[in-house]
Amino acid sequence: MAAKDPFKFSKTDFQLTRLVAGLAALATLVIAVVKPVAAWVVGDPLVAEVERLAETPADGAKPGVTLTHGSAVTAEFADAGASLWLASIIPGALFAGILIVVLWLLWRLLGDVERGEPFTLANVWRMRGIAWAMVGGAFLLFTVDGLANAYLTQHAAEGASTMFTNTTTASDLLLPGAGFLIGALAEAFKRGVVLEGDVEGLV
Amino acid sequence: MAVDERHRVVCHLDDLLEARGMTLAALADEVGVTVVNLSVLKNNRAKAVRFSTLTALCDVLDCQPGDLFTVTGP
Repeated sequence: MAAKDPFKFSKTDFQLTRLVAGLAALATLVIAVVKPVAAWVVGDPLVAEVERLAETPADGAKPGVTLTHGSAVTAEFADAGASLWLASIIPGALFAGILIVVLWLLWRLLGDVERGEPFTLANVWRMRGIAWAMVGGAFLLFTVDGLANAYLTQHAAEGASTMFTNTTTASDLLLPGAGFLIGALAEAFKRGVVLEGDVEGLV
Repeated sequence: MAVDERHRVVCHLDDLLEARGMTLAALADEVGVTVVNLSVLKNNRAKAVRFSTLTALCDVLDCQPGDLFTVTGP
């Protein structure tokens, strides 16, 4: 008799994975989109973390802006316009969108795996979708975040004229790296689809 | 994904069973494969046959692979 696989996904594991995915999507949507949009609607001041302002003295802020220097530099815009609010919200909304797409594709993929039908062309395309969303999304997010940060910085500090500002670390490569890995797995799944087709007619 | 592999192999399991007065279920039982799989083979819907299955079929039906299968003209 084959030994029991301790890592085999049970029905509970599938349900827990779905629950975690659902909660992660919901939490990201609330934190990255709903909360800042609500603050905008009720007229709260815009508080945004800005980069590359560590050298800027606290009194170098533009009128109507309060800079707070801590572990990060925070700019509080007393009367922020729509463009500033959008610059503050768009990177988070983009991240939430990418996450929801990835989790939705993963959700559908898990459904097929649970039914014992992982090797289908639909799943190959789902995995490719996840890979593209992760690799493309990481680069898109980096670009949009850098532009939005620079825009906020320009409006927060006197003399700031940067067009793009973003700090990168080695861990930023983790997301595209995982995307490439899933893309490679999709190719392995494609091979599995062909083999499954062969086995179906084997007597 | 269904692989579209057309073939011209015809299975004569029906004739062999009739000649021996045997049912498909009895053959499946003796060979050790499912009736569904043997039915797939009998109706020419199989894409491949394991040598082990072929050996067992020939043993039980007391025949050769050539008695079970022929290839029709193109």
